[in-house]
Amino acid sequence: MTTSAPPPGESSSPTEETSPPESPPRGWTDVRFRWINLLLLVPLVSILPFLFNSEEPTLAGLPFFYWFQLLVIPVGILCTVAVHRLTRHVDEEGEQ
Amino acid sequence: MNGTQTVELVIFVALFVAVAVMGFMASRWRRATDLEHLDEWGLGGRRFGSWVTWFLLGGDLYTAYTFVAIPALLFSSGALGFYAVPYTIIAFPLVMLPLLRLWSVSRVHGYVTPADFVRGRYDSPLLALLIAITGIVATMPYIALQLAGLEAVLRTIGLNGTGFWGHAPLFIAFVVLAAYTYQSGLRAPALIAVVKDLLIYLVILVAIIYLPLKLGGWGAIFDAGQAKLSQPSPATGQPAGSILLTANNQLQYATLALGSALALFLYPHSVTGVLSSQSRSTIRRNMAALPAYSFLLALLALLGYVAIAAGVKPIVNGSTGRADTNTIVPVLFDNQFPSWFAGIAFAAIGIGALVPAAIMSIAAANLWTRNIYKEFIRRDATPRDEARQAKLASLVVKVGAVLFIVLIDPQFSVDLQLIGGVIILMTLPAVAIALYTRWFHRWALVAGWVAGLAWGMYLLYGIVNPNTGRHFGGSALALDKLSFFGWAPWDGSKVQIYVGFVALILNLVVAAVGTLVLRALGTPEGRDHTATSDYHATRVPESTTPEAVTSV
Repeated sequence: MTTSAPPPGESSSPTEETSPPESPPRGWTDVRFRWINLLLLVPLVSILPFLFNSEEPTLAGLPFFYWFQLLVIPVGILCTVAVHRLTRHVDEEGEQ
Repeated sequence: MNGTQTVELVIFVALFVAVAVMGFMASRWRRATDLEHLDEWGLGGRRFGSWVTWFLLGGDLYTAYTFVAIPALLFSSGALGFYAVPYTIIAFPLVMLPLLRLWSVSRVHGYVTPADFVRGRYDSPLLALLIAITGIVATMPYIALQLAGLEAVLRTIGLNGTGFWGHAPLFIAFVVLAAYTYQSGLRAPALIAVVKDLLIYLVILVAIIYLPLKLGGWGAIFDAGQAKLSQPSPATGQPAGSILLTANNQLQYATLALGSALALFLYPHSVTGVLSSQSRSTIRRNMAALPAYSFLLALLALLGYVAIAAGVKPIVNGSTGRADTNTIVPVLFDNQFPSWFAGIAFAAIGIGALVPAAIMSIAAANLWTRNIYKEFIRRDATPRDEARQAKLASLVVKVGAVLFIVLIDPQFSVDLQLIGGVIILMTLPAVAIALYTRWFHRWALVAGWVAGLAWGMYLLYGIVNPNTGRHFGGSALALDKLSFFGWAPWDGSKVQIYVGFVALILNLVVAAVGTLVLRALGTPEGRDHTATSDYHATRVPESTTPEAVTSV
C-alpha cells in the first residue's frame, strides 16, 4: 500500500542510454500518498473476527457474525467509490 | 439414470453445446486482422472496456470455487468456510492502487505477464523464469478445482461411473473446452462469461429467495446447521464445526482471507484480465464494482447450511468410492427444484467452471510463451510462432490440472485453490512490492522465493487428510507444528493458521536479510528498465515492444 511520499532526491530514474548499470534507485518509486487512500483499508475490519464472532443480535434469522460481514460489503464499495471519484481527475487528464 | 436426471442432462447438454458453439464463433468477435498474434489470442487485442472486463474478471473469480467448494466447506466445517466473504471484500480495495501501477508500467513497456514486469524491473531473466514457473504451477491446482466442480455436477446428473472411465464425461467436457480455447483465445471466455453470469444470477436469485422460504427461514436453517455441526465426527471424535468461529480457527479465518486476497491478483489469469482492459479508469470502475459479486458469494456460501437443513446427503463418487461433499449444492438443486430448472442450474455451474479454466490456461500459456519459450528456447520467434506456442501450452496446462486432481486428494476441494495460493504468494515480493520499490536485491528475492516455497511445501506435505491418510490433505497448520531448528515457540497450541501466510513471512525475512548481505558485498543489482514516470502513465506510447535484457 502507499505508505510514504517519495524521497525528495528520487526523481530521475535510469533510462536505456544514460544510467550506470550498477545503481538502480532503492527508495520508493513515485509513490503518491493521499490520505483519502486510507479509506481502502476500512474493509479490513472484516478480517478481525473477534469483533463480530457472536450469534446475537440476529437479523432476519442471520447471526451477527454473518450479517455484519454482509454489511461490510456496501461499506467497502462506498469507500472504494469515494477514492475513485476523488482521485480520478489524475487519470483523466491524460485520457482526452 | 431416472427420468428427472434425463431432463436435467438434456438441458445441461443443450446449454453446454450452445456455449461451445459461441466459443468457436468468438474468434470472429471484434475481429483483428490476424489472430495469429499473442496480443490477439492471449489478451483479446487489449481492447476490452469496462463491461467486458467486469464479466471477464467476474468469470475469473467467481467460479466452481464459489458454487461448489465454499458451500461444501460450510456444510462440513461451519463458519470457517465463510472466510471467502471477507476475502472478496478486502481484495479489490487492497489491490486497486498496485494494479493501476502494474497496468501503467505494462502499457508503457508492452508487458503481457507479471514475469515480463519482473524481468524489466530487475534486469533478470532468471528471476522472471522463476516467477513464470510459479504462475504456471500455481494455476494448475486452481484449474483442478474447476474440474472438481464440473465433475460434481456430472455425477449428480447421474454420470457417476466407476473406475477410471467414470471420469470420461469430465474429460469430454474438458476436451471441448480445450478445443475452443485453442481456436479463439481470450475472446471465447470473455464472450461466454456474459452468458454464464446471466445464468448464474438467475439461479442464485431463485435459490436464495425460494429455498429459505421453503425450508422455514434463515433462523431454522442456522439452527439445523448448528445441530448437525456440533455432532462429533466419526473420524476425529471432535465436533465437525460450528456456525461461529472457535478460539482455534479465528487466526486461520483472518489469514485465509488476507492470504487469498493478496494471492488473487498475483495469479496470471487475474493479471491477464487487468492488462486486457483499455484504461486505468476501466480498472478503477471495476475494482469499485466487483465486490458486488461478494453478496452473491456470501448467499451461495450459505447454501452449505441450506443443504444441511434440507437433509442433503452427498453423492458417493463412483470412481473414488467416498462421499463427495462437492456434490451438496448440485444435490440440493436436484432435490428442491423442478428438473428443468435444475438442468439450467447445473449448466450455470458447469459453464461457471469452464470459463475460468479457459482464462487460467490462457494466462499460463502466455507465461510459457513470453518468459520461457521466447527467452530461453527461441529468441527469434515470430509473433506467429508465439501464438502457436501459447495455444499448445494452454493444452499442456490443462493436462497438468488433470494430473493434480489425480495425484492430490485434499479433504476439501477448496484446498486445491489454497495450495495454489501458497505457491503464488511466493511471488508477492518480486511482483507486488516491486511495483512500489526496488529496494530488494534480485538474488535476495530468489533466495526468499526458494526458502518460502520449500518450507511451504514441506508444511503442506505434513498435513494429512484425516479421511484418507494421504499427504497434502489441507492448508491449515496448527501452531504447535511450527518449529525453527528445534525451537517450537507455540508448542501445544491448537490454534490454526494458513500455511501460505507463514511461508510468505519466511520469504520476506530471507529476502530482506539477503538484500542487506548482498548489498554489503557489493553484488551487482542490474539495471532498472522501467522509469519512475511509467507507474502513473495514462497514455500508451506508439512503440510498445519489450526491451532486450542482456545480463542474467
